[in-house]
Amino acid sequence: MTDNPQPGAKGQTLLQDSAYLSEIRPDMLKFATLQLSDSHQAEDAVQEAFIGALKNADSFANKAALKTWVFAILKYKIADILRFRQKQDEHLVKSDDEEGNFDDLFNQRGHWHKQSRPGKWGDPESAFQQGQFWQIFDACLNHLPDKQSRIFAMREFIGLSSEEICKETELSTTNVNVILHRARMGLRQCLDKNWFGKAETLC
Amino acid sequence: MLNCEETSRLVSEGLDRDLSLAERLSLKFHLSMCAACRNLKRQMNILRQVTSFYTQADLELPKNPKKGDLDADEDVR
Repeated sequence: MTDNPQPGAKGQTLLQDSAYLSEIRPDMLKFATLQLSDSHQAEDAVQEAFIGALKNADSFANKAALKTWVFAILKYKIADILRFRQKQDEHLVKSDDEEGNFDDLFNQRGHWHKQSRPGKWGDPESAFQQGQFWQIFDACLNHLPDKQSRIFAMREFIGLSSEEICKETELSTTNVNVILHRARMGLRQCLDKNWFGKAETLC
Repeated sequence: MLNCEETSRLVSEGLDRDLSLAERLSLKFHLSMCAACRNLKRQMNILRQVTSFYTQADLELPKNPKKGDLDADEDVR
């Protein structure tokens, strides 16, 4: 901070800069909408994140740090909303997707069916550079059963540990593990089908 | 000995907690013999890369393509 005598003024200017806001707002909204599956709540969360960021804008001198900060606040807001929802539908918590089965993937001995054996995935780095890949990833996330995508988001997007998820959701560790496992299996299958495995079918 | 389904579960849990020595050994043993599960493990790792890339919000590539186009953005409040 010593090399920048007036970080506050700079940060405020940046935040108030509408070009800068319009630059990051769509990303934030997209992120929030995906997590919350509710555009109104997403709008609110983004709005609150901006307000929260404004209060602390003093400490930021550069765009990248500010963006990280605004997103960090947004993630908190989203986690809050998700926690609140989770409490509300506790009665749904012991639902089907905990047991669900993998009959389509594994045979009775627990080995891969021939047609479902995971194959090699091409270069993920190059996929990341393609907008179409992210569209597919979005779609795959949206296809997960609701609870799976929420728990997955808490773990992978918000960065909560499984213990924290247990506390927030009052699910057992085993349940959280099972749900995360199912979510990952579902996502990998979806990405495989629609992106990575598309080029070739395994014999 | 682990089957593939159990292996997939351990691979997933390995992303959430430290596996015990026994778990790691049986996982390693199974993976050494099973190409499909090795691929699965790699895919799970890629999935984590995908999500972490995703949360960094660097989605719209190329970045800041046409700033001017955003001027009309409906409601930047």
